[in-house]
Amino acid sequence: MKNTVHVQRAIHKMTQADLSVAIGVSRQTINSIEKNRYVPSTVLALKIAQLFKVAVEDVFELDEND
Amino acid sequence: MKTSFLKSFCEYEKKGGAFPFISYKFKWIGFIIAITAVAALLSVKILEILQAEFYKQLFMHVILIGLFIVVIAKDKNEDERINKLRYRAFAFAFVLGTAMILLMPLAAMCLDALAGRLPLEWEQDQSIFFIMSSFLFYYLMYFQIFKRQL
Repeated sequence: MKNTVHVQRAIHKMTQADLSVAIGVSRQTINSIEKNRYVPSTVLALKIAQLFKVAVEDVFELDEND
Repeated sequence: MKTSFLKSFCEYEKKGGAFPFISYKFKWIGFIIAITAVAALLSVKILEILQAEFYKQLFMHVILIGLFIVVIAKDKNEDERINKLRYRAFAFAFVLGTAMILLMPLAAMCLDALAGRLPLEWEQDQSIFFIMSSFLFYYLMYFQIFKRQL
């Protein structure tokens, strides 16, 4: 699954640490999500989308391997 | 009664459950206990003391207790990713530990046969220390690898 978390973060001028505090996970988890090493749960994906005020599909997208 | 207990237990697990049971600081306490017990075990082997076998068994057991405390302690940054990695490490440790316990006597027997050491004997270390330490070490190893790589 591809994601644009780092783009959304840049738009909202947030660091990985800011985002991790805002959604209640560790900075390492944000780093893993951005590097496509970890696929977040639905709850976490919804939290991220809600924080950036966009639809989940705008942040997370299925790729050809899914 | 039983069904309602199971139902509330499952509900509790769905909300996150009780595991890991104890706080992060116990991870260090567990490590200190395990390392101290290893040092004590080595000193028993080096020094000639009375009841050496008793102390050897005792310190081996204390090593397991220390490692178990490390395993059940929370991580520094406990979140859904760490939880997922923990359960994956448990699964790997269980499969690898079981495979090793099952395959080791066969491997030893094959090596004996190839080396011509006859008659063949069934050699299996079934001590609690061997089995438990395999599972605990494999879990800790996989958990650290997953945390760094995933």
